[in-house]
Amino acid sequence: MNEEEYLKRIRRALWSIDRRKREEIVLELKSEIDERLSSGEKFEKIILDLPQPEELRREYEEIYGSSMMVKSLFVIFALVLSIFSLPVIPFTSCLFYGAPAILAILAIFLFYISSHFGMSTGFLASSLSASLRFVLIYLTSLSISLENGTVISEGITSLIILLIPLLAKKRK
Amino acid sequence: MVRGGKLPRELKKGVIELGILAVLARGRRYGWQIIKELDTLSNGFLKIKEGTLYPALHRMEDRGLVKSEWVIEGGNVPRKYYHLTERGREAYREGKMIWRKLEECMHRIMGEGDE
Repeated sequence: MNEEEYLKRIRRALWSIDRRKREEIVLELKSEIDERLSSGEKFEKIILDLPQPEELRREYEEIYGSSMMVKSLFVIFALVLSIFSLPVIPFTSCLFYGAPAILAILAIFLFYISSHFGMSTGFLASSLSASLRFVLIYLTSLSISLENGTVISEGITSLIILLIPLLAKKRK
Repeated sequence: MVRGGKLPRELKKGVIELGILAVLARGRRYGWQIIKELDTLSNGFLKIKEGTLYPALHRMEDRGLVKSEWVIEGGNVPRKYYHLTERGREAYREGKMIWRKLEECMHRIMGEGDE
């Protein structure tokens, strides 16, 4: 491995951190490597002192958390999942094991968001997902939903979805 | 447990921040300089790896103990210098006081009956 490859691995490991911070971390490491190289040290020796990308990822994620862009992407994905967790969406029955399975995936995903990005992000994702489910029931087929009792059952599941992030432990 | 005269990991964690504050109390330094200085001043006892130092510095900056600035000297690669803030100086004074008190206490606790 050479300097460029090592820094590329660091950059890749820190993908979820704010871009400006990530570049600064990489530049700081590059600065030390270059200084040691110019003083005659071999890169094979320097690399023994340098941190593993995974080790740095854990440390910096704890300090800075994830970037807004990454958090937003996860929230958007939760919203997409929430759409297909509704049995009133015709396309849902063709997917995987249908609405209940997608609902379970959504619940796990919301738990992951909350434990990984913090409760506020998890709660934002869950409240948006729950609201979207309600709006979609109303927009798609309220009359059918009322007949089948879907509004009540989906209301309960939406409430469960809303509360899932609260089960995760706190993180920055 | 102390093995081969090395500083145990649990103890090292608490000592590193005070060590960094002490080095930066002498003036601004960049990462590699801090590592070398801690190594030299401790006669090789306090060897810090980059994976420990840089996150520690970022954590301290996040808490407002240190501030950093990029400096380009004579066409060389840019260096990120760290210096203490007023809060950092205060933390250093406090840390030093606690350390001396702890040293005194531990000396009293372990002094008698020690081989």
